Amino acid sequence: MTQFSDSESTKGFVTKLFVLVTALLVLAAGTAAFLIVHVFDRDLSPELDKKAAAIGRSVARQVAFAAEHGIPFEKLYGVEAFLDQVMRGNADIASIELADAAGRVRYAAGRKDTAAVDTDLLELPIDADGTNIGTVRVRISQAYLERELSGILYDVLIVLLVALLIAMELLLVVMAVSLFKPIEGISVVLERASYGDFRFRLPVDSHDEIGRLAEVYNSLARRLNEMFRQLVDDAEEVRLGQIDASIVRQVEGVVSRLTERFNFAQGKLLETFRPVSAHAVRAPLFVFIFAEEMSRPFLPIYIRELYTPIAGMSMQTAIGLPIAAFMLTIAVVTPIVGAVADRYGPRTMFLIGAVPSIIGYVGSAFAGGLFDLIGWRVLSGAGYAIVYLACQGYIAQNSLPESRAQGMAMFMGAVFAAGVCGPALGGILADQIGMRSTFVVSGGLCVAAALALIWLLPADAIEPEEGLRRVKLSDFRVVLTSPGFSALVVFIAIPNKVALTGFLFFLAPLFLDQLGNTSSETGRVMMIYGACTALLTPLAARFADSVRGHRHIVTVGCGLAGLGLLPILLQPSTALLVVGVLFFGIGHAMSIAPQLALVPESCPQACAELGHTTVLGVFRILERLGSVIGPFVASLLIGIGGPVVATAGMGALVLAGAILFGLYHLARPGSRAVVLEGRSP
Amino acid sequence: MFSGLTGRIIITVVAVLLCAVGLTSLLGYNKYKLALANIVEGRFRFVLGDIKNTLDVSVNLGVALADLRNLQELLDREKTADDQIQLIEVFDADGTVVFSTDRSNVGQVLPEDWVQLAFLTTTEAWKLHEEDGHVIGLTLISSFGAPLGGVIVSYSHAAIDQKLAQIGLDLGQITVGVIAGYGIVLVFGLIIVLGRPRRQLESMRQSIGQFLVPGGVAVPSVTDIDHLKVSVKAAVGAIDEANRKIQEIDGST
Repeated sequence: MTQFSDSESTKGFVTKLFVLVTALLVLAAGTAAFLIVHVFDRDLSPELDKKAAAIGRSVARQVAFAAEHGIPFEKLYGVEAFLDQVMRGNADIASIELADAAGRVRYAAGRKDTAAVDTDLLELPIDADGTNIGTVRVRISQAYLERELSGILYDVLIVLLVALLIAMELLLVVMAVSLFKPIEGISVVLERASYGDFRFRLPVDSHDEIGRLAEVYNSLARRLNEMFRQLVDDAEEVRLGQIDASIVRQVEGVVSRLTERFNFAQGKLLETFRPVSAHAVRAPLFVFIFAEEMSRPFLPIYIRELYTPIAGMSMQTAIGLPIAAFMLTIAVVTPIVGAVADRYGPRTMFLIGAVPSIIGYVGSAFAGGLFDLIGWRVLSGAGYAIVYLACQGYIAQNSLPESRAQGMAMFMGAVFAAGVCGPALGGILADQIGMRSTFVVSGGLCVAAALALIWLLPADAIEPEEGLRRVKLSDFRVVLTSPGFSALVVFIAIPNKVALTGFLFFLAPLFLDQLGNTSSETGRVMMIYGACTALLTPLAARFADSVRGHRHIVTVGCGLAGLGLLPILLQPSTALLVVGVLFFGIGHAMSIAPQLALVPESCPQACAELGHTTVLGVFRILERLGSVIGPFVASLLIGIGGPVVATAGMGALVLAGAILFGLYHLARPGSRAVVLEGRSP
Repeated sequence: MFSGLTGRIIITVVAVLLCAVGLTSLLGYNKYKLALANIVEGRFRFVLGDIKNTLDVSVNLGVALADLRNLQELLDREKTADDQIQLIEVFDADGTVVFSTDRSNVGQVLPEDWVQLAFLTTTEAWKLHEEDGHVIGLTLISSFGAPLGGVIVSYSHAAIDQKLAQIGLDLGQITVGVIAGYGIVLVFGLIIVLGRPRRQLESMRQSIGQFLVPGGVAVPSVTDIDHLKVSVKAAVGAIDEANRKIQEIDGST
């Protein structure tokens, strides 16, 4: 059309916009963080000085007491053990020294800090019977203050990352709704007009450049249609005044020749052309998934706080119940809702799904016990399944078959981005405002997601559609007769989902808490998984496609995911757990997309009989079984050998699955031929 | 200015900037609050532990609480050394105050819930939030494991509140300053970046606008949307031709 719709020009403009926004957000948050840390340093140091003074006074009094009872300063017994004891309970103190009247250090405990130490040295005289016998020197730990301040810096970095991702999501939506979608409309309508089709007008939703352009075009189209209608009226007048049939035919011929070449509106009103954009659901979906992801780092801890002993059930199993109930609800609700979703359309379904989610989160915030919480999580799970389906359905409806993969990538992009930000921010909020309040925030975010959808997706923009074929019980029999499919499900899909919910959602937060980590720190660790999947999944998918090695990538990826969880056996530490989550994330990022690509390849006959979508639906349902049993498997393993054995056990399960999957394909000499055959159209 | 495309993008980005910097400040404030509370409480816990250790030495030697000499002096000295301390008291197994920095309290009985909490929490310090301050306490246990009484330190939260108010003000200023400073840069940056697409859209509008003349549609001589020009020209020409033919037919009869 014009240079504006040229993709290179648009890309350049979008890149400039994103670079500008990113740079300024980073600079702004960086400046704010620097100034905040400076203010904290200024204000917290005097408080530490006061504490050091209290400690110094106490030590001086004890030494003076001994001296007043006749024990010489240099012959005091057990002073260093006493100072060590004082040090142990006060992490903010770096060292305590006792110097005699001549300034020689006689007793000391703790360590000498780095260069900045001297600025934080507090000296107090030791007076016995009115005479100075020495000095107490208390040094404040710079490391303690730095630790406190570094916590703030980590929080700032997380907030910055979250803000950037949210900014990008919002910009994408604003650009899609305010720029790309209208431009697409203009492009289509002007192109049609170029071929003589003047039936359409453009929507004027704003009074900006696009709105004004639309108004001008609408005037043009309206005038052309008016000219046409005037002609038709004149022709009709002439025709009615004639009794000669040949002249009537001549008049009709003139008009019909014109309408053969050009299309004009039939009535007085022009039809409004309103293109739909797949981006319309991206931001609401992002916010909705974000709300759920926020509870990941602290949910098991929250459940543990609500736990009261239940006869015949261990605490670990009880903690797993709400997590499993959530997953089970998703597994059960998905096929049920799938059958009716298309009748109501994605917009209505999203809004219906948001209701139980909001109630579920607010209910979770005020849960009085374990069973209350299970009920609320079931509601949240139902809402989650409905909203997820609604968005997936919307993308499928509003993307052409050739661009459906891009649509799904956009959909998954929102899910992954939420997976990166949600746990991190949720952990920080749980630490600062409490776990219950964080659930309320999740509820608020669901409300925001619903409002965003109402704004972005007008009710008249989409039509309910006829549904696709739904999964039936008999489909499972057809699909599971394929050994390749069964191997994929049993060795790869189920073990990995067991580990995802069992390890990442259930075990990791509890284990990290046991190792002394705060919810913020747990959130940061869990963010690693989200970051790996968000960054590496597209790269791994592209690589697997280019080398046509889905099977190998899946085997290696799952092997890595399992292997990374084994080193915890060496020593239960946060560092090794971080390594585990990192490998788990990398492994899953490598295998998620190739796994899906393997589904049709592993059962070409079933695909031919039932269609790819149904086979994929069966795969998803079977995979979710793993999600449901994951927390129970983890709690069983914790009961056997504690969190270390449970973590390693999860790793061993995934690793064993990967090895068996690899061996299965090695043992089937014809498998490659089948794979390539399955790939052909 | 803010109703157009540029305005919408500016509002979105500035809102994100506001949220990012605002959230950073809010989280920083909460972190500071927690850190300050920890440091201040740590200080009073130390003072409390120190007094308890002194008491333990005497109690373990079999001296009754009420008979401890020099204790009053120690309590007074600690209170004087720290202006945030409101009160230090030592109470016996009945909850009766035996030593206090406020002499008028000696002989009075501590509130029932304090005493209950003190004798329920014997292994670690206990804490209460009162209207005018915080109270932390430690229980004294005899060498036979029986509770003998306890010691409490009450400290004012006015100083903490004052510090928090000051830090809130400082953070507010930082937030406003950063948002204002970077907001202005952002607005100008966005206006520049969005200038080109705006100019292109305006050029398109003008091109299409040239078709429009009062009462009809004209074919302009200059336009960059050639296909549309050709199509409109053809449509206008065809309608004119059709009109002419109909008039001819009408006139010939």
